[in-house]
Amino acid sequence: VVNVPQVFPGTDKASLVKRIRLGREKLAAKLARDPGAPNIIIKPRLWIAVAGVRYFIEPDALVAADADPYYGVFEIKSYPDRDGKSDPGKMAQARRQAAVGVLALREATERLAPGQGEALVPPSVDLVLARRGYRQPTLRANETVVAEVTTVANAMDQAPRDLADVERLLGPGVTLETAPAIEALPANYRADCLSFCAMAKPCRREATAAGDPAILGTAYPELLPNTSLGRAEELLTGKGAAPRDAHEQRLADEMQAAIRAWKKAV
Amino acid sequence: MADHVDLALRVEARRRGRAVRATATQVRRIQPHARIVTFVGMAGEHATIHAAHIARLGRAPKFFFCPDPRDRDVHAQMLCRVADELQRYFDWCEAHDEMPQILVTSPAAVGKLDSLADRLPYAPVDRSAPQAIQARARQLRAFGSQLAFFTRYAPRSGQQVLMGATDLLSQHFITGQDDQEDVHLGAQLAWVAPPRGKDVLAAAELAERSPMGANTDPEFDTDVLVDAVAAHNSARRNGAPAPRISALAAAVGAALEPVTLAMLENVQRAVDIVRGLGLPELPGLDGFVDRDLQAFVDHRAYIAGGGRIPLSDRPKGAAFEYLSREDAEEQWAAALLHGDPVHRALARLRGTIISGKVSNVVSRPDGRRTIHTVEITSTQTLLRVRRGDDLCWMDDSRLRFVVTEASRARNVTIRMEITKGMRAVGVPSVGTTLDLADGAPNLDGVTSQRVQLAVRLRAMPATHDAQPLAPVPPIPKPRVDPIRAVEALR
Repeated sequence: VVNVPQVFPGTDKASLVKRIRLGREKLAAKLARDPGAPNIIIKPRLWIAVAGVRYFIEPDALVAADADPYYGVFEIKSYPDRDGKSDPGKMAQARRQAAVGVLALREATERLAPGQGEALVPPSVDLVLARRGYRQPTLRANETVVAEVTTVANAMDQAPRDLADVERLLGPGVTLETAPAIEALPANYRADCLSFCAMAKPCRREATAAGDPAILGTAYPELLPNTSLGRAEELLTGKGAAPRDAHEQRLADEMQAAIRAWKKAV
Repeated sequence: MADHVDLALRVEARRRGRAVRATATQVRRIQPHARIVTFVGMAGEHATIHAAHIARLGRAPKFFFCPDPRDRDVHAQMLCRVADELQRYFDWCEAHDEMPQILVTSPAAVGKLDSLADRLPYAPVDRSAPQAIQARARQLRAFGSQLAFFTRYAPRSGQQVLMGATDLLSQHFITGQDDQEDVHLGAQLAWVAPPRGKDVLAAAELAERSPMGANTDPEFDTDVLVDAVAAHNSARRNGAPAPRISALAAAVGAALEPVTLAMLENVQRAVDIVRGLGLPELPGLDGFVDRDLQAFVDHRAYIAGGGRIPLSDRPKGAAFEYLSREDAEEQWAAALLHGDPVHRALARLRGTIISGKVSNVVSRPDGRRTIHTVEITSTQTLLRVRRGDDLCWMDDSRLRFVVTEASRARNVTIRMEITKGMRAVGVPSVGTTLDLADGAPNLDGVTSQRVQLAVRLRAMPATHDAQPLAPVPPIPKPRVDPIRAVEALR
């Protein structure tokens, strides 16, 4: 077992660089089938490049038995494994986090053995959660993270284009440190943004101001294609411009019938 | 899945700047003796409670807290006090044949109680520990087994033993915001009873800043709680005098008390709002209350008889639980459809109720019986009906039909045969308007289904049997070439 932060403690730049080197050495040893290669590397410092910028990540551990050809990603979480009752949001977050670890390990492997990253690091990870009802760990071995790896990889591919768009919208020299700069970017609000994104509330305000049907829930943009909530209100009350096409006419008829029936019943 | 009816009501709520009523009846019984339980855990510490308020509806609350739930002994002591309080209530309910009812803020709080009920029944009893500690562990085990009834029963539709206040409000109101935002009690209350002269969206956003689930606000943790807990722990570690340690523990409690108290006040407010509507109770709600009470009594008897809560269901137990939940969902949907005028009116628009005028009735003898065929014409634009559907008349569910034909020209014409009730209720005459739907709620029907399931599960299904699967018989070759058959249709 190699505990990387224990070998090089401290968070100064020199220690962090040494941690990267140590991790790389151990990965290379495993690739060379060195019998002395560790079975567990705790908190190795890896990095992934997004739009030319390095982002450092530290998976909880990389694990391989002597007979295994290479390491797999290992994530530890404190919450209990409650089978079907496990919090789906937390489980999704853990899988996404592990997927980033898979991509970083693939990149690190590619640098050591070009062309072998994907073959040696499959999209499956080991998750350790607390055993339900006890203060003991339980293992979810070989948890598949194919979808998460694909999503994260797509997002990373998309990032340079998105960043170019962001730069174009912001203008030269403007950073995202001020509210007006953030507000200059278009929002793509969905209700589930609230559960994980720090920008959800400003985006929701923007979506509300624009009358985006997404603020009512994920199903509503389909019911109101190219129609704002303000327009839906006009169609409901019959005030404002008359229905412009057959779709608006049908929408107005259905909503008005619903409100008539509701008023009568309530 | 949302449809145009939901859309219309949500847009109407936004237009009015307040939630609109979703029912014309009170669809949840609120027990006068119900207990409001609000609590917060410590961040990162699952199945712990840092502070809690418990109150009988409309009465002064009691506050419970421990300075640091990571100190297991102190945490267990506090949980025992909470357990005492609730255990007395459960005992009272059983003695008085009353359905117990626990009201919490939201599904997050139900989830937290569920985590607790997962752990407590297995609280380890250290036989080498002092008697007092062993007794505490046993008390927590017993309490966990009682609590497990509420959390395991909570997923059943229409249950009223463990209710989130957000669920109570959602049953009676439709807001102009997303369902996920409705699970914040403060935001939902802002829609249901918006503050005078204030924009409802601003009020809801402001309300969202206060925690209303089962955790404290992370900013509050950083700014207030961390320092208070650290000061207490440090004083204790350094052997500070007892009054000093008590004062620092009280400071932790004083920081947490307003958080759980605000939650409790909002739960009470939600209850007052629903009661204040003055709506008649949903017909048939008594049956659901009796079902819940019976389940509670059965669980108590099971635990008293030495029964244990399984950590995970076995396949057979899971199949029975699944059946119960499915049945509960069907019965609750039927109860709302048959008993609440708003649900009924909106179901007509959605096409789940067939509403039409009898246009023709034909009675013809068939051996010793008479077959009555009724034809109805409906102007509904959306209808969900197929040949073979079993329907009942909503005004008297003894009269039942089976659909033999459904056709749409300008209107929809549905031909049906009466299968039951032709003598007791009578054959409807031409010109009568009928509302037809799936069967009325039948809370006893699950018993026969359970018997049937027990027979089916006497032998372990192949999917759960260690034996290899029997070889699949070869699929017989089709007599007709399907491509030719399709082409012949052209």
